[in-house]
Amino acid sequence: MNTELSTEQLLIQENTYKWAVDNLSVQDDFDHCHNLLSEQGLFALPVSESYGGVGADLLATLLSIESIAQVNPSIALYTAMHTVVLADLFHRYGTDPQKQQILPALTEGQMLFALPLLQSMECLHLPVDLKSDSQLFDVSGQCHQILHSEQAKTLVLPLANEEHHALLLAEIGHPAVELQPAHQLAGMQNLHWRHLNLTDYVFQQENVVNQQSHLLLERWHSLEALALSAVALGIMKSCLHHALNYAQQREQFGQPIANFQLIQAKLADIYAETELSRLLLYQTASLTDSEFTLTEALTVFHQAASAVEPVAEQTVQIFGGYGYIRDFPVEQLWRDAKFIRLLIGGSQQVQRQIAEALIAEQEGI
Amino acid sequence: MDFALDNMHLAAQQAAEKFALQYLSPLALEMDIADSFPQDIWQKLGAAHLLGAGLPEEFGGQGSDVISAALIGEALAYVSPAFSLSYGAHLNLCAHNLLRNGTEAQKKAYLPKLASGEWIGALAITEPNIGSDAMGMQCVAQQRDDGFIINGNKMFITNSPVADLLIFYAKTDTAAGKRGISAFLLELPAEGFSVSRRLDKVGMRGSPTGELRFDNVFVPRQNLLGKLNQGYKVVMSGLDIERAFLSTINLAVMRHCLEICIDYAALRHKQSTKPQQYDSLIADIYRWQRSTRLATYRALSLAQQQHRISKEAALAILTSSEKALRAAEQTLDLVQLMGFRSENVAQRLWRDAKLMVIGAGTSEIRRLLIARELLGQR
Ligand SMILES: Cc1cc2nc3c(=O)[nH]c(=O)nc-3n(C[C@H](O)[C@H](O)[C@H](O)COP(=O)(O)OP(=O)(O)OC[C@H]3O[C@@H](n4cnc5c(N)ncnc54)[C@H](O)[C@@H]3O)c2cc1C
Repeated sequence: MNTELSTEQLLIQENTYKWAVDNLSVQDDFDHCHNLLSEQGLFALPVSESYGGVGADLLATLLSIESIAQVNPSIALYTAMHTVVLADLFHRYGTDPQKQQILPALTEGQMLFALPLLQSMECLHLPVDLKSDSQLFDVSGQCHQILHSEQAKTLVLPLANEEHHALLLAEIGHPAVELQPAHQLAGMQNLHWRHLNLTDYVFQQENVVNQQSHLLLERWHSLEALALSAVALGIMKSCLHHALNYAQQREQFGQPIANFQLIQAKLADIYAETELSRLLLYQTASLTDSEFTLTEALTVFHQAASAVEPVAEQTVQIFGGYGYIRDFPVEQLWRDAKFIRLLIGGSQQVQRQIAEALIAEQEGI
Repeated sequence: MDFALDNMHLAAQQAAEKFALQYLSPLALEMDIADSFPQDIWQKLGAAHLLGAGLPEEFGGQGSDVISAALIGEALAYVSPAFSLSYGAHLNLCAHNLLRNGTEAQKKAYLPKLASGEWIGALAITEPNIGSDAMGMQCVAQQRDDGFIINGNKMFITNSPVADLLIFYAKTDTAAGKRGISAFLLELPAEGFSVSRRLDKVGMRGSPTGELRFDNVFVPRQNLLGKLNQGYKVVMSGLDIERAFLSTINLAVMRHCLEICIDYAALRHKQSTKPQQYDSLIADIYRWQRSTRLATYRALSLAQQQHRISKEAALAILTSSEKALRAAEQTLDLVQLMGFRSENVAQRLWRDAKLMVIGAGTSEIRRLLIARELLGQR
C-alpha cells in the first residue's frame, strides 16, 4: 500500500511552493503575475512533451496549483482552469489542428482563455440557445461570472443539450461578444469576473471541440472539481501554517496562546480537516481513468469545500483582531474560502449528484 | 500513491466478510440485547485463521501484516462493532503488543494460544481513578526475588471477564512517575485476582467489560513484559497503533449507515417521495467514510513500515469516530422519523459509535495530542 507522494511529485510541490513564496504575494492579480507564471513553466506542466510541455501527471499538476494557492488562491484558481481543466480537454477531445494551434501556445502561457466555472452553474446545461443546424452553431445567450483576464483572447463555452456536447471557442473582441463587469464577489477578488452577453455568434467548425461525447463536459466538471479542491487545500494549508506560527508567537496572560487548550483544539481541527481533504484529493487524482468518476471528483470537492470555510474562519479567530485587518493574509484566505464554499452552498447540487449516483449504483442502474 | 490493498489484504478482508455474514450476523441482535459474548464463535474465528493476522507463522499466526488484521476488524465491525472491539482488544492490544515487546519464551508460550482462539487476551491500563492521565496510575507492583506482588484496581477492561491472558501495567517505582511503570503478563485465573464487576454498558454490548481487583496477586519474574520501569514506551507505542487499528470500527459503522440511508432513499426514490435531507446525509457520510478511511489506512501503513504515527493515528481515530457518531445519529434520526425497519440496527450503531469518541483516548485528548505534535511539544 503506497500512501505517499512520489519523489517527482514532491519536487514539483516543493519547488512551486518556494517559487510562489518568493515571487507572488496575496494581493497580486493574475495579469500582473502572468509572465512570471509562464516563465516558471507552470502552464507547461500538464501538456505532453510532443507539444513542448512537461507531461506531468494530474496529481503533479494539482500539487503545483495547491502550492500557488498557499500564497494566492485567485491566481491558483485561474491557472488551474488552464492547466488542470483546459489542457486536459484539448488533449483528449481536440482535433489535430486544434491541438497544434492551442497546446504549444498554452504551454508558453501565450494563450489565455475566458471561461465560466461549471460548478457555479445550476446544472451542466449552458445558458445559450442552439439556433441553427449542426454545421454552424449560432448562439445567443447570457452567462454570469465568466473568469477573464486582460490577455485572454478566446472565450471557452461549454455546451450541453440533447444533441451536442462541445466546447465552443469564441473570439473576444468580436462584436457579438459582450463582456461586462460583474458584481463584486466576497472572495477571489484578484480575478476579473465578467457577465457575458452573446448575440448571434456564429461558430465555425474549427472553433468547435468535440460534438459527440457527453464525457467531455463530465470531464470538465470532474477536473474543475479537483482544481477547486486543490485551491481549497492550498488555502487550508496556508491557514494551518499561519495559525501555527501566530499561536506560538502571540502572547497573552504571560504565555503563548498556543499553550491554551481551546487554541490547541482549533489547531488540531484545522489540521484534521486539511489532512482529510488532502488525502482524498491525492488519492482520487491518482485513480486510473476507469476508476475516476464524476462522483468521486465531486466527493473530493464536497469535502474540500465544506472544510475550507470553517478552517479559514477558525484561523481568523486564532488571530483575534489582527485576523480582521489586512496586516495579515488570513482575512483574504477567509474570503477566498467563502467563494469556494458558495459554489456548493445553496443549491445542494453537488450533494444531490453524489447521492443520486450512489443510489443508482445500489439499484444496479 | 495508490492506497491499494494487495492480494494478502484482499484475502483477509474477504475471509472476514464471509465469516461475519455466516456466523456473526445471526447473533448480532442477541449479543446486544443480552450483552452476551459468543465464546463459541471465538474458536471458529481462530479456526478460520482470522485471529492470527499480523503474527508470524512460527507463533501460530498467518504471517500477514497489521493492515490485514485491521481489515478483518473492519469486516467484523460491519456486522457487530462490539465483536470487533473484543477482536481488537485480543489481537492488537494484547497479542500484537506481546509480539512487539515479549521475549522469545513469552511469545512461544502465549501467542499460539491467542492465534488459535484457544485463549482470549485483554489489556489493562485504565483504573477507577485514572483514565486520560494514564501515566498517573496507582496500581502497584512490589518487587520480590522471584517476581512481583500486585495490588490495585483496573477499570473498563475489554474482554477481562472472559480473558485467559491479561497484559497490565503497574507502578514498579512509585516515586519515578511515568519512568516507574512496568508491563506484565498474567495468566488467568490467578490467586488474588478477580473481576469484581462486569459492567453494564449503553453500547458495545456483547463485548464484555470488567472492573478488576488485584489483591496480592503474584506475577513471576519471567512474566515481566519489556524492561523494568520502561512500561511507558510499551504503553505509548501500543496506544498509537491501537488508535489506528480501532479506527476501522468507525469506518464500518459509516459504511453500514451509508447503506441504510441509500437503501431507504432508493425505496423512497421509487415512490418519488425522497426527502432532500437524504442527499446531504448520503453525500456527507460518503465523503466522511472515504476520507477517514484513507487517514486510517495511511496510519496503519506507516506503522507497518515502523514509522512513528502518533499524529497520524490520532487523526485517524479522532476524525473517523466523530464522523461515525454523527453519521449514526443522523441516520437514526431519519429512520426513526420514517419508522423504517432498520431502526434496530441504526439505534445499535448509534449507541456503539459513542464509545469510539471515549475509548483509546477521548476526542479531547486526541486533539491535544495532535496539537502538541504540530507544535513540536512532544
Ligand atoms: C467500553 C469501554 C472499553 C474500554 N476498554 C479498555 C481496555 O480494554 N483497556 C483499558 O486500559 N481501558 C479501556 N477503556 C478505558 C478508556 O480508554 C477510558 O475510558 C478513556 O481513556 C477515558 O478515561 P476516563 O473514562 O477515565 O475519562 P477521564 O480521563 O476521567 O475524562 C473525563 C473527561 O475529561 C476530559 N479530560 C481529561 N483530561 C483532560 C485534559 N487534560 N484536557 C481536557 N480534557 C480532559 C476527557 O476528555 C473527558 O471528556 C475502556 C472504556 C470503555 C468505556
